Formats: sequence, C-alpha cells, structure tokens
Amino acid sequence: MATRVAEIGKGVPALSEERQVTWPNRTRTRLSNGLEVVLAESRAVPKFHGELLFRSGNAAVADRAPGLAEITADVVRTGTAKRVSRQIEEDLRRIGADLSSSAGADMSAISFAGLSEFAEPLLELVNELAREAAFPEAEFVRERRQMLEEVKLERTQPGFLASERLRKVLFGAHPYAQVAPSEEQVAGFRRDDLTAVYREFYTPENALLILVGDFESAAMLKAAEKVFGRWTGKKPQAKGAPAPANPRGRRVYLVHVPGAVQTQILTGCHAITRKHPDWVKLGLTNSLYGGAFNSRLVMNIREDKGYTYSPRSSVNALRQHGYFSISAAVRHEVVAASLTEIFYELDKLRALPVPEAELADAQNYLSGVFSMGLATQEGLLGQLVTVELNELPQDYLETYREKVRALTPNDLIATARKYFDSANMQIVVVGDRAQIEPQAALFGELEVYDAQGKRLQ
Amino acid sequence: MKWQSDYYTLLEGGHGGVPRFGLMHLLACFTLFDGEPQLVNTVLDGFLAVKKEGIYAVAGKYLRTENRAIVFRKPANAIAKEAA
Repeated sequence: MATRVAEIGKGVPALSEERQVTWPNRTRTRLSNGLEVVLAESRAVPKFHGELLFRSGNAAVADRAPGLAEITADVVRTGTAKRVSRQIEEDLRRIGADLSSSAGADMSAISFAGLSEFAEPLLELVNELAREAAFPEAEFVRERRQMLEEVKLERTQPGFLASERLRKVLFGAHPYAQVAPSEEQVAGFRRDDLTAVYREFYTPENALLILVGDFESAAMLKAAEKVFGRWTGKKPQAKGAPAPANPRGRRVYLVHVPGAVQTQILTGCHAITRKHPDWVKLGLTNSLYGGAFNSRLVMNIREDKGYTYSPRSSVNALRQHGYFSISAAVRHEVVAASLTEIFYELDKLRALPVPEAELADAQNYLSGVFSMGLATQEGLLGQLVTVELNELPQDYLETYREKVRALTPNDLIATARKYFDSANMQIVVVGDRAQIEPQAALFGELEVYDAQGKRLQ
Repeated sequence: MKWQSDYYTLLEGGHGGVPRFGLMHLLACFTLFDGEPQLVNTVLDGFLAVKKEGIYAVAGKYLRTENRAIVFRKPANAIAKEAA
C-alpha cells in the first residue's frame, strides 16, 4: 500500500499557488415589506438559482408531530389559488425552470432555478406558492400516503435506526431528538395541521430570498420588489427549548434487527453550531480524522484492515446545537475491533501533534474543496444560504481559506481534546443482537431496543 | 426551453464536485468522436431545431412494441406463492 502511494507520488507535479477568488458582486437589503434579500451576480451561464427560505422547520412543530413542516413543504408546491398541480409543472417546463420545496429541522424552503430571461414569471410562481398555496385535498392525501410508505421503509434501514437512536440519546427532551414521525402520527395528519403550519411559517418577516446568477442586481431587486413587495405577515412566535443535558460516560445502545447481515455503528457526542468561533478548527480536525477519504479513520479501518467500506465522521450543526459523529457499517465479527480503532484514532489526535505534512494536505483539501464548491451558481447559493441561515459574519466566505491555512498542530490537538470527547461518546450499534451483544457490551453499559424504539430486556 | 436550460446546467455543472466538468466532458467527446471541439457552441441549435414530426419519426422507428422488454421485480416469496 505505502509503496504504491510513493510510486504515484513521483509523477504528481507540485501544487501551484492558491489562486485569488474574484468575489461576486453581492447585495444585501430588505424589500419595503421587510423581506430580507441577498443577491449575488454570477454570469457563467444565462441562468439563475434561488431559494426562498423560512427560518422555521420540523423542530419548531415537533411538539405537534415531527415531520409536519416537511409534509407542509411537500404539499405547498402541488397547487395555488390560481394553478393546479399540472399547470404548475407545465408552466415550469415552458420557461425552462426547476422548482422544489422542502423542510429540515430548522428551516423550510422553496428552491428554484431557471433561465435569466424568464426570471420574473418564475419569481411570480414562487410568490404564489409562498402566499396562496391551496393545499388541494387529493394532493395532500397522496403526499400523506407516500410519507407513510417512507416512514415504514426507513424503519428497515440501519442508518436511519442508528441516527434516530443517537439523536434521542444526545438530545433527550429537545425537539432535535425527534428525527421522524411514527406511522400513527403520519396517519393522523389532517389538512388543517398543514395549513396552520403554512400560515405560521410562510411569512415575509420569517423569510429570506437569496438569488445567485446572471442578472443585474438593481434590475433583479426591482423585480423582487414588484413580485413580493405587497406580501405581509408576522414572524412566528419563538419557542425556546431547554438545552439538552450532555450525556456523561460511554454508554452503548443496541438496536436489535434480527437477521441483519452487518452492523451499523454510529457514535457521537455534543459539539458546536456553525456560529461558534471554533467551527473552522473543528472542521479541519474532523477532515483529518474521518471527514475525508484520505483521513486517518478511512485509511485505518477501510484501507488497512478492511473492516468496512465507508467509514465517515462528521460535524453536524443544527441551529441551536451541534454534534460530532462517526459512522461505519461493519461485519458482525469486527464490531469490537472497529470500535477499538475508532477510539484509538480519536485518542491519538488528542495525545500527539499532527505532523506538518499531514496538516498541510488536510488544509489543501479543505480549502480546495471549498473553492470548487463556490464555482457554480448552485454552489455559491448553498454557501450563501449557510452564511445567512446561521447568521455567520458577512466576511465568512472571504476569510474561510485564510482561517483554514492559519491553523497549527497545536490548534488541532487543543480542538481534539475539547471536542473529540472520547470518554463520553454515546455508542449506537444496529444489528443482530445474538451476533454482537457481547462485543458491544465491552464498551459501556448496554441498553437494547427494537426497531420500533421499544426497550428490550 | 427546458432542454436549453438543462444544457446550460450541464455545461456549468459539476461531477463529484468538479465545476465545469460538463463543459470539459463535451469538449473531450466532440474532439474524440468528431474532431470538432467547437461543436459545444452549436450542438444546442440542433436540439432546438427539432420539430414535432422529427420526434414522431424517431419514436416510430426505434420505440417499437416488438423491441420492448419489460422487467417485473417481485419478492421471491410472491413468486413461490404464484407457483403454488
């Protein structure tokens, strides 16, 4: 393995200096009705991409039922006071546009892209969906049926079961603990539940319009004012949720799936939000640990030991709280061996400074991927959404690469000690109890659940 | 219109995070197969010139019932039940 890398290494030319980025012309303002607007000009192709975002999602209605914001978003695009579903699809085709609607834990969104010459009719449609969605009964029933199937399917997927359990363990009574509704909850959804969420969330004071593409900002702003300017509505009432307790001590949660062919490992601990000043440090430390393909964890348990195909670590930031997690689907017989290596690599980063060359590679990777991610209209839009939704400093994009480059081995060891909370990691394993229980129990006090979430003896 | 819009996205779009991969790919294909990389600038006109009759003619020629293959995917236990 090592010799092969060296052979290839010989033929690779040295990296050139990182190029300067020409930052797009950006405008940040409000329409007369208070709607926040961000515009960025990016003219590679005669198109534009946009999102109308609402700062509320599934977490804000988790006390009613998780998934309620999601099904609301699904049904929003199926009809307005003026157009039925088929008409919407035909109109989109006629102007060469795509449109989708979705909701996450902390936001709901109408996302769209189209030819610049037809910007106004596309914005008109977005405006209609945001203000005059009709929630046709038949479309609602169809979406509910589909969601019911999805919810049933999810329960057969180890990745879902693992993340559902980990989120429960890490977030307890907080809405972030609930990742999906139960079948009963979905079956109980009524059209009125959706229209109530719609009235509450889809208001200009709660919204943010971001457009990126081939346009003159002044003209686009005028078009946005014309289309959205008369829309009115208040911000929904903010609901505070108490901070979840940070679980102490390693514990193991086994989700029993009889006859499972392999075991899904997912282990995690509390971390930080995007807004936290340590975000870039933790991002780089994670990239080196298990966030990139050539990271230590992948080289160890995939390339060297062959325990798993796709191990991965990530820093997951929700708006109010964040968590760090490590996942790997492994063969039954190497559950204990894989966990041992997962913790070995964590502890090694906490104990020993990272060699300069390895740090430089990780910096090049993270900085390079970031630059490439900005090069398309869609990529730039995604980054601007991240900045705005998380209320990051306005120079976040411009200064990100310098911040990554400035980090030293000392920063990384401090970050690993602070956030790779090895002693308090919560460990979820999803697999056949008979095959893995003794191995899993080596790592902490064990609780066993079934796929429906019921505690077993 | 939809084709035009999608074509621009293809040119700009990434492949595994590499921006402009679509444009590179088309340049490579037109150079390899046609020796004419500049086709990337005109190929769209050809698609936009397609008329309804042309689509009928092609569909009639290639999408024939006797050329059709249909695959049914069923769980093994459903097949066993049918056989019983």
